[in-house]
Amino acid sequence: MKILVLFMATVTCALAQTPSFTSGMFGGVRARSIGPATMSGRVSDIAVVDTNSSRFYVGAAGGGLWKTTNGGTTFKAVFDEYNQSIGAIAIDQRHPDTVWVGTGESWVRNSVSAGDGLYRTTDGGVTWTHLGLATTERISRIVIDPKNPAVVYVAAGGPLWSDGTDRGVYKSTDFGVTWTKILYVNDRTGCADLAMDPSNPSVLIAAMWECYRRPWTFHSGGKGSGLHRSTDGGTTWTRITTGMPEGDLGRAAVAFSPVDPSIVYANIEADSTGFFRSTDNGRSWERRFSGFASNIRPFYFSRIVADPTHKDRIWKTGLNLHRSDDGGTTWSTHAGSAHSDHHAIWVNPADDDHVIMGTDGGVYVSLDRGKTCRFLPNLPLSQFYHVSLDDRRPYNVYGGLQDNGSWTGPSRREGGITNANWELLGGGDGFHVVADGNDPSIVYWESQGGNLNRYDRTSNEARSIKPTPEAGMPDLRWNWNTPIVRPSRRPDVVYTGSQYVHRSTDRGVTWKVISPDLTTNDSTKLRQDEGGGLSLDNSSAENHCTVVAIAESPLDANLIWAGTDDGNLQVTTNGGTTWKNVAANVPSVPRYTWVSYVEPSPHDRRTIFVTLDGHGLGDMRTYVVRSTDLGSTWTMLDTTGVRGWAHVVRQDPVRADLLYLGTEQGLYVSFDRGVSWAAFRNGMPPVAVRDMVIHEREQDLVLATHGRGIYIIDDLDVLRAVTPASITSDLTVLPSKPAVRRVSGSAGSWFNGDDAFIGETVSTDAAVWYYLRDRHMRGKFEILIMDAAGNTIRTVPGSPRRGINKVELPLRRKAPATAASDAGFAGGSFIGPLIAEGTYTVELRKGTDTVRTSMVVVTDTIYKHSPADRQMQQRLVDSLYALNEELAVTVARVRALRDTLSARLADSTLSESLRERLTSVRDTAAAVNNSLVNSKVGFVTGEEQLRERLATLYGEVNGFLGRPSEAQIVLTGVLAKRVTEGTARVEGMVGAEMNLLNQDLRSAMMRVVVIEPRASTYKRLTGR
Amino acid sequence: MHRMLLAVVMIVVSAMTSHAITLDEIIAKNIEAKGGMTAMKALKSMRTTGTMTMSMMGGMEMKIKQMIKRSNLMRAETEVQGMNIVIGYDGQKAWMINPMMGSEPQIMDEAQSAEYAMQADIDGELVDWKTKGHTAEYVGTGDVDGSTAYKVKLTTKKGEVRMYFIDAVTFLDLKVESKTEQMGQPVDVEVVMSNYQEVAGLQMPHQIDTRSGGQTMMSLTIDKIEPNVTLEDSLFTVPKN
Repeated sequence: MKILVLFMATVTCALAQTPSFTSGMFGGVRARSIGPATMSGRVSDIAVVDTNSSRFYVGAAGGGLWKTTNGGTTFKAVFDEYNQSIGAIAIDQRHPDTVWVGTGESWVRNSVSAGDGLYRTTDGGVTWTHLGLATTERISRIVIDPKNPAVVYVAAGGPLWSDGTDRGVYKSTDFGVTWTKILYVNDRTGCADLAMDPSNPSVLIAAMWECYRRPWTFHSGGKGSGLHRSTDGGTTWTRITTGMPEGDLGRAAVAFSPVDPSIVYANIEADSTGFFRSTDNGRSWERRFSGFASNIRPFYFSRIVADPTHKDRIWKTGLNLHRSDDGGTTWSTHAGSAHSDHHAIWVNPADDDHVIMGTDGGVYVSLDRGKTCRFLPNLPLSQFYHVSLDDRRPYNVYGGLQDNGSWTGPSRREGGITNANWELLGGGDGFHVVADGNDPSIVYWESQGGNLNRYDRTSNEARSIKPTPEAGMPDLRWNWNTPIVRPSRRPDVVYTGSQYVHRSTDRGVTWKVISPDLTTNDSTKLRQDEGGGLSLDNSSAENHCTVVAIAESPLDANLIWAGTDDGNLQVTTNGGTTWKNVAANVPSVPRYTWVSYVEPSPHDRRTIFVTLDGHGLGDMRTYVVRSTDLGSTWTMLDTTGVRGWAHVVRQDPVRADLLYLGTEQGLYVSFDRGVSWAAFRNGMPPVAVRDMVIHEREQDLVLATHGRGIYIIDDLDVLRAVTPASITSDLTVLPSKPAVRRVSGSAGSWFNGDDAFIGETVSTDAAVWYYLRDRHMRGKFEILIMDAAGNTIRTVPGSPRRGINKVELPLRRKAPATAASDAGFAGGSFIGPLIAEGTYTVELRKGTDTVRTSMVVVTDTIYKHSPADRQMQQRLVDSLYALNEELAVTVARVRALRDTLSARLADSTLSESLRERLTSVRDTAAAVNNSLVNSKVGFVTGEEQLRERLATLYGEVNGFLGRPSEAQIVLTGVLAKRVTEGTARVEGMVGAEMNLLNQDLRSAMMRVVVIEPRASTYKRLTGR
Repeated sequence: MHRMLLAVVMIVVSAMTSHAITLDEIIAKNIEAKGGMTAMKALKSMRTTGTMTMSMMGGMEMKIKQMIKRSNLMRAETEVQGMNIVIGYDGQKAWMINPMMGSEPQIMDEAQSAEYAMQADIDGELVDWKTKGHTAEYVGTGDVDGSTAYKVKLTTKKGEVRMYFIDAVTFLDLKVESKTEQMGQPVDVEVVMSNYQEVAGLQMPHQIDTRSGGQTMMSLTIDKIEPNVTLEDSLFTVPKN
């Protein structure tokens, strides 16, 4: 037994010592969200508190759940720890802080994500509980029994890319603790919509929908689809037949009129899609309308809302917002200024002029029944497919988005990156956007299906540069998301891919095909013109047998890798003359698995990392493979603990062991070349990371997310420094960038109100980085900045996190001691002067540990001031600093005299003559004080005495790092003279005058007046 | 043999970790970690002096003095260039004198007062939460900067919600998430505690950082905590001018 205990202790100890890097240890390394919110992104559902239309929730296709309590002026993400694909939201209207959220969007376009079940909050989104149904993949509707909120129905679409039984209608009678599947049809049929009779919660109508997706096809409709009605709370169901369209059905939407529940509306996809009405509570139906408002892409737009106050009014999603005021016979189109592609509608039960809409481009609010609408510009739900960068300073970010075109915006900007800082480059759905390697004002962008364009941002000229087949070639096949790739180290080259790889060296004017057909060219997967099922839908979203990933080795321009959507992985080592398909060498990955990314190593030309994505074939595993011999043999990296299918892997260009992996469920980092992975959550939710690029100059990792826009991690140099070899002690200092002296003269931002989205910019403050093995909990922890002479300039508190810590170091001395006043502040002297250029010591004192590092302080090279001018500024600031402090001491002494005498005057035993003497000296002291500092009380007095003039001048000189103006130099002399005179006057008072006074007091056998000596006051105020 | 041992280890380890901790246990251990109920109740008043560093303003520093007296009395003074900004809490309402806005004390409304009510509770809100009329709930574990913490959700008598993160190892407070108001706007803040030192037999954090959006906005470094000092009640009541 003893041996066992010993063994256990050893095991436990070994476990504890294994240096495993976990999510929380990224600490000071954060991802910053730069948005944008200007185009927002796809909204899948909206739920509003009926009794308070200012409180509502917005569910995004890939950007999580957002809550507003002020009608959309501000939003807060309330679901950032969970799955970001929202299917349905339901508020328990009698307990509005109880909200049910089903994950997994039901608008099943090609790029749709997958959910992981149902959640509920009972405190308005502060905490959430997972309530099962994890394998249903997508939830299209949640219905709460208004009379008994323990009873809840869930409509689950089920897995889209595979067949199976986890779909249908589920019911719970115990607040979601247990579930019963109460309606199931077949393994391809889920529930697309579910409606409850508002007057009788036992009456339900379920719209069952048979559909499936594969990478090359989408099919809506089949024998399984149909409307089912229950009158006993889902125990038994009857399939509705009377009045239904002929033949197989597809997706349907259904809604009872809240005004008259005998009236039920439905939009039903069929060979002849139409809008239907029942006047007998859903038993029998009649067709009311066939046409665009009804038959427009039913799989994508199948939400109808029966108006809460007019029984003949119905609202429907579509390409736009559609409305009928006559029970569905005629339809009108609304919200023309809103983004197209509507998915969610809410109509205010108290005022049906008030409509909230969710679209492919965010949320809009109308207060005139859809005539006009207002965009809510503060939801950063942007769904990027790809990202690229340029080399400007600061560099810019380029990328294309789902139904939201191609854009560029700055990576940093003083005051933050606003919506207005983003420029639209191209329309349609956007994907790859690449700036020309020699001239970043020339940009390559595309819309879906390989429509490549070149745009000149200077002249606003755009031209199509889509390749056409060379003589004798078949038609070119273009993926929905066609690659446009510019090798980072070869500015003249651009690649694109159809079934071939194309290369241009003249900005797309001419293209050369440099490969044979690299795909399987499987004719059974090339029938997109027949796609969609009941409703033809050939948007290029299912184009298949195409090249989707291309990369040239950064070490060898003749070594090019190409991956295809049908599972081929091709490599050429001679610039395209010959290609070799190495897909068959990749072990344990099913054939035909989509190659999502190829990453030739920047360290070794024979090494390549590849991500593969099988989700379109129902295989959700995370595949990352590596070859070190140009693809002959492969290693599958262990992705235990990683969630989501893989989109992209990047190898750090400096530290080969450091890998970045983007999946459908977020960002993962490996410090050991893929042996283990830590989820990166600092500042970002588990949102789909579709693409990543590293800015080598800035050492930044830039992420394209499909639901939350662009994130930037600014500190790859810090991650590079965290290695098992470098972490040798409890406190390890990590390398820091040089500290840069800067001042901001920017006027900042104006008064934007609260609904402005402002993307986070980079902090330019100096920082010390270090790694703590354990959290610092007890005892002092401080960080000192010391100059070459060993003087401590500043002391700042240490940061206690386990893992990586960042402590910003003020590059300024403390603010000067400033004279006290009873009447306001002297704002100019709030901030200390920048410390001089040079090398400083940074000392970390943690308990009994002391660790030192050095900090090099330089001035931002953006400033063109000569060293002599900079020194002159520094000297003048130093003199003004000293003058502020001298005045502070002087004023402290005259105030002390004034206040001491005032206190003595309260003594009733004073003789009349002494009282007069004291009063006179006190009044003189007060007058002198009032000539040195402001004394008029009030917010806007206009008064400006010596303290205020000095502080203002100090602030001005402190705020500009170049040569001070002549006026400032002259004024410094004038004020210095006044400080000297003031000090002389005060020293005279507390010296000779006070001595005379004290003689009188002594003669009267009274206590003398004592004022703190100047040196001691100086030390007290300045700390020196 | 190896396999059997491993199985035993797994069983023992899971037995050690699978015991579901309860709210009462967490709070009892939290009180114990801080020094125990007796020491806690023996603390009648305290005066804290420290330096507030504003990260956003070039590291601008302000001297701060806070006085707390049982029961629920609090006064904080911040001195800037000779002007004293005073905030008080008299057990019912908070008030402030900001000389820039005149010498009259301004009475704060209930929402503004709530934050100071929290500070005025010398034991901390989790102690005797039931008697104080709050509700508390253990809502699972969470991560605070790489450390595992028990999350206790406290809903105060007045309905404000705060999430306490209690270190799973030391059982000391790591962090409190709450809402505060800045210029009338609600802002989510995280208050992170570290640098615990013993004062009058109690573990008290000497470093209190306020983060918003993951960034440290303010750092309070405490120089000195004086326990059981004499503080007149008049310090806390609304001054009459």
